[in-house]
Amino acid sequence: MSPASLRMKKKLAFIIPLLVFATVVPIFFSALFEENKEEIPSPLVGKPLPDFLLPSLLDGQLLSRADIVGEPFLLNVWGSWCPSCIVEHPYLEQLSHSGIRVVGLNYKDKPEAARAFLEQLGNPYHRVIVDETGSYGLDLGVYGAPETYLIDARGFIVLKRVGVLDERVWQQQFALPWAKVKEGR
Amino acid sequence: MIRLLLKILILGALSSVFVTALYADPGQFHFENDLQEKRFQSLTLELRCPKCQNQSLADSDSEIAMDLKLRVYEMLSQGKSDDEIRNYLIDRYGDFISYRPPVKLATAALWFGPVFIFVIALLLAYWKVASGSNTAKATKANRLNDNALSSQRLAELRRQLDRSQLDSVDEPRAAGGEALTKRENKDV
Repeated sequence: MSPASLRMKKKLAFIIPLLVFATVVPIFFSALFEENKEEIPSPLVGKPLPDFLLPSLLDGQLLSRADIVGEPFLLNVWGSWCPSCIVEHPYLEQLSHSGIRVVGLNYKDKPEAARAFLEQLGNPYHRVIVDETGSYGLDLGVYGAPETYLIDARGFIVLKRVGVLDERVWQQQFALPWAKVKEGR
Repeated sequence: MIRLLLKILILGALSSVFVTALYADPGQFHFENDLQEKRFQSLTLELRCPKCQNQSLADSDSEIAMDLKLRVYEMLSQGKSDDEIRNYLIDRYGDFISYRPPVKLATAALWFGPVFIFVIALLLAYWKVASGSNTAKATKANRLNDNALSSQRLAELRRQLDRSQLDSVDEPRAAGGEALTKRENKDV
């Protein structure tokens, strides 16, 4: 083998690993700071909210999709058994006070426990739907609580968030879409 | 010693298989027949638990996995087909729920990536071997050339030697001739 091609080989042996390293580093680095590693994309985004017929937590009246759809709202999946829901609660109150309609989906919970939770911490919800068995949650693709869905005036799911909703998440993910659905775009 | 180690290894492997089988045991469900039970088991093995990311539904005892298993069981009892059940869950939880993602643009890298890498590896290996045999050929050719050269040189040296012997028996030259002969012998 000629010395030139040997030199070339040596160069490649240096450059190729370097290139591989240079591509891998940003990928791992971004994954390191990825905020919600457990989030899996929902196929329901862009689709209508599934229909349901479930009791309301506070008055026992049967509610269906038509009762809550009509103007934009947030659908918040929660349970009194869920510690993150307690963390999230004050922020939902804040949203509710600022005029954002929040509908609760009490997921796999005992209605008494859920009522006690709201009595103790306050009730940010416009309506609370009781899904004791989690079957509506299954229709929504819920796999934990809290989860929050942004629903537009037509009843379509615009956005889904798995995990605690707080000021930062609101600003980063919800503020813009909310403004859009408010304007009716 | 090695035998003992092997035994331990085999036992370990067997027990892990056994434990998985236990996890997949649908003890709480009552099936109409063996086929239904088999379908339940294979479905819950190929469906992934959305919460516990690297476990199948069969493997997981998490609440959501139990709920999904119950739903699979209900749908089986209602006479739904495997595809209907699969699609029902994919419609709600996305392709993520399946350990057998469908072939589409978003999953192309997943399906064809390994084949692509394999083909590249084959090409590289081929290229490597081909260039290797080229070198081998070249070396052989060089050696032949060397041989040709040396026999040529040999003939030349012989001629010189003959001439010198013909000219006169002259001490230094003969010594030189002897030295050359030795080298020739070494060459041949």
